[in-house]
Parts: sequence; C-alpha cells; structure tokens
Amino acid sequence: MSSKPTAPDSALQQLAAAGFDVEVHQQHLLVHQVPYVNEAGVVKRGTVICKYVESGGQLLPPNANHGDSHQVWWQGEYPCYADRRRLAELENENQGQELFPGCTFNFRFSNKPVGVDHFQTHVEKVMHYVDLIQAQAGVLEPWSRAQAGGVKRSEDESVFQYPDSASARAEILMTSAQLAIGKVAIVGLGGTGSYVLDQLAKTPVPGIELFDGDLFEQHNAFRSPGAATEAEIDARLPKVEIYKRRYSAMHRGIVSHPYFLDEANVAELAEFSFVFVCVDRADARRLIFRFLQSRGIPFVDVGMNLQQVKGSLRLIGSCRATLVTPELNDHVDNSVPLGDGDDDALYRQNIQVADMNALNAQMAVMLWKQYCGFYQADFATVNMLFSVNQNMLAKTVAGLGERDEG
Amino acid sequence: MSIEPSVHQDDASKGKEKSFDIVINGQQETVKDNHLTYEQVVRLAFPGGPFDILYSVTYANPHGHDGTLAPGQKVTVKDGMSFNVVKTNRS
Repeated sequence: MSSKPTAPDSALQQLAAAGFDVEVHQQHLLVHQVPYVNEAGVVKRGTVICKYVESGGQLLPPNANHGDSHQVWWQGEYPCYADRRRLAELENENQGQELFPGCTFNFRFSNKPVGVDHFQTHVEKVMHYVDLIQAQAGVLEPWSRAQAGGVKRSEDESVFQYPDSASARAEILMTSAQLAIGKVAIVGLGGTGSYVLDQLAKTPVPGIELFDGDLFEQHNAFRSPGAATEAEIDARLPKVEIYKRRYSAMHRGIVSHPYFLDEANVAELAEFSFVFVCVDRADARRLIFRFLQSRGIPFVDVGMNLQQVKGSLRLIGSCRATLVTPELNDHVDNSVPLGDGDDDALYRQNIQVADMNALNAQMAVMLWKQYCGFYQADFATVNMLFSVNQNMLAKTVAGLGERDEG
Repeated sequence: MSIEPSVHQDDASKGKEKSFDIVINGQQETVKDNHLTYEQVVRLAFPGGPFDILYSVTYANPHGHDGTLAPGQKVTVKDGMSFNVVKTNRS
C-alpha cells in the first residue's frame, strides 16, 4: 500500500520518521506492526487506526469540535496484559465492522490519560494507545516495538517489494535512479551469474530476466549467494526458477526463462537495454556477442579460471569482466576468448570457488553501473582483470594501443 | 619453492648475461630476455600449447608496475616479476 505525500509536519511524516509503519488511507491513519499480547500469552502484531481528516490543506485535530474523538479502532485479537488478562481499560466496542472499503476493525478502544480531556495531536493520541498496548508485549519480548517493527511496504509501482531505505538514508536515490534505464538480462545463472542477480536485485532496474536451461543441483549451492535449503535442492527445479523465487522476495521484476539461448531464440535478447553474459561455452558467447553487437545492445561478458600449480595444492587464477558497447568494441578480440577449445585437456579440471565467482560478478555490475552513470568513470575502462595469486586488479582502457611498462 | 631448470641453459662461452627469476602461473622460471612478449609468456606457461586460443595475461611486480599483456604487446622484465596466463572462459 502507498503513503501519499502529505504536509511535512503531519502526523504521518512524524511517525514515519520515528520508524513506525504508517499509512494514510481514506482519511484514516493506520499504525501497523504494534506488538500486543493475545489471550494465549503470545506476542502478535496489530494495527491502531484513527480518523485523519484533512480539510483545505489543514489537518483537523482529533477532538469533538471537528467530528473526531479520543477513540481509536484496532485490527487484531483483543490485547492483554503479559499475564493474559484482557486490557479491560481500553474496552469500548467489541463488534467489528467495516470502517471503509477494504478495512475492517475488530475492536474499538476508548482510553484517556487522567486529566486529559482530549488529545492535542494525532501523534499524541496514537502514541497513547500504542504505548499502553506494546508495553505488555515488551514484558514478554523486550525487543518487540512498533518502531522498525516491520517492513515498510512499497508503493504499487515500485520494482521493490519494500523501499530502498538505504538509498533514501544516503540521499542517493537520484543517483540510483540512473540504473532504472530498462530491462536487463542475465544469460547463464551459474556461479557468477547468480551473484550478478544478487546485486541487480538491489537496484531499481525495472526488469531482470534470467536465461538458463540447467537445474539447480547440490553442487550449485556452494557457488551461489545465500544458503540453499535442502528442499530447494530436492525440488529439482531450474536454476532460474529457484533464483526467481528467492529474489522475488525483494524485486518484483524478475522473470525466469528455463532454457538455453540458441540460433532459434537468441532474438529474445532484442528487448533488453543491457545484457550480462555469464556463460562458459565459446559457441554460446559467439552467438550472443554476434546478436547483441548486430543490435547495438551493450553488454558485459564475464569469465574466470582457476588452476592448480603443478606439484602443489595451491590455486592460481584470474577473473575478467569485459564491457562491450556500440561505441567501444575494438578490444573484444584481445580480451575475450571466443575461439574453440573449451574441451582441451588443460581446462578439463573446472575449479571454481564462490569468492572468485562473487568478485567476478561485482566487477561486471560495477562496469554496468559505470556505464549507466551511477559511478564516475575516470577512464574509458572496458576490461577488468583480477588475479588472485598476484592480488592485482588490472584494467584495459579503450583506445590505448600497445605499450611497454618499464 | 623449488627452482625449476632454467629456460635458457647457462652458456659460459657467451660470458655473463643478466638473468631474471620470474614466476609464471605459480612456477619459478629463469629468463635472460630484457623483454617478454605476450606470445613468449604463453609459451613459457604452456610449452605444448594450445596457441590458437586467447589467454588473459597479467603481470605484477613486487614494487608496483602491474598490467596486462594483449597479443602483440611486450613488457620489460624485472626480477621477482609474476605472470598469470589464464583462459578466462568459465562462469
């Protein structure tokens, strides 16, 4: 549900700023996630509702002169003391009914502090009831509070299930908006592709579509963000479906395509503003590169390899992220292995480690964010190459030819 | 680490030549070249090839001067230098 912007000094703004999950709907103020004790002695959460009438841009105070009172409505079971006795001091009406379309209350409460005839403000009124009710929950669960008690839901048109309060807090919402350029695709949801999704789900990009024909298996759990459950592994679902379900908890624009791209369907990439190519086959790379370059769609290609040093157990290796745009594409042949030879004996040992997958994905996402103008680009960097045994990150800048570092 | 046999055998008749101890894909090598090209580094890493595929080559010096080598490029060799020759094709 959405919170309409209102006067900055309104009760809604004050309560929201204080961390309450509040909304205004049909001239009513709703304070959600208020912890209370039910008759079974269990801490649950309910909603306090009061009138919230604006007239001519002015908020009418909650008193009888303005057709209001000190009473509130309650959604939830009847709240109790920590010892399960009903909070009889609140009781007023126990016959629930519809308050306005889509909102039904269970109880009406009536209670005032001694010596108070009426409340001066909505905040004062609401907090009086919230404090009475949640104080009892606090006896059983001291951490239960209505402030930050729950998630703030997003407006209907947002790509997020709940707002990006980190960007709001850091005041980079405008910068973040640079990333909402258009739908993006991730081709290949292996180790690196899954970490790319992990990052993209936290950006306001309007759509994230996943292409991969593989099933999610036990070994994938060890090169994938988060902690897969046994049920997820036993389900034998496509990777794209597992990830779509997991990340839809946060981002509303995720679509799964449980198949590989080939000559017959590669044109499905035509509708994307940017593509993350996270495959490990040269033929797939060539096909996708050719299509994206023919349509002028910018993309990042990732690739890595780890190998064991002869006669030791130690690993060396590098991971690469390469940006290709209609303007910057001279570097492709010298950056990306597009030739055959995926099956040469040298590379049959396919060692992959989640930290390298994750780093490879971060490099790809950073190049994309730079391309979108989220990050400043001091150079026209088109290739990043990290070598774990050298602890080194090297870049290739567009248009710089041969050089001799000396 | 064990020192691998030199790539270039010492030849006393040629007098003293400066040689460099370097690391290629985690293994010690000794070379006499002042410069190494992308192609030479690939051959040192994989004497038996394959040579028809693209490798991502990075070099690093203990005191900085890190970089990459693309086909056709070369770099000045220093003692203690490290090279990675990796086909970055996995995801």
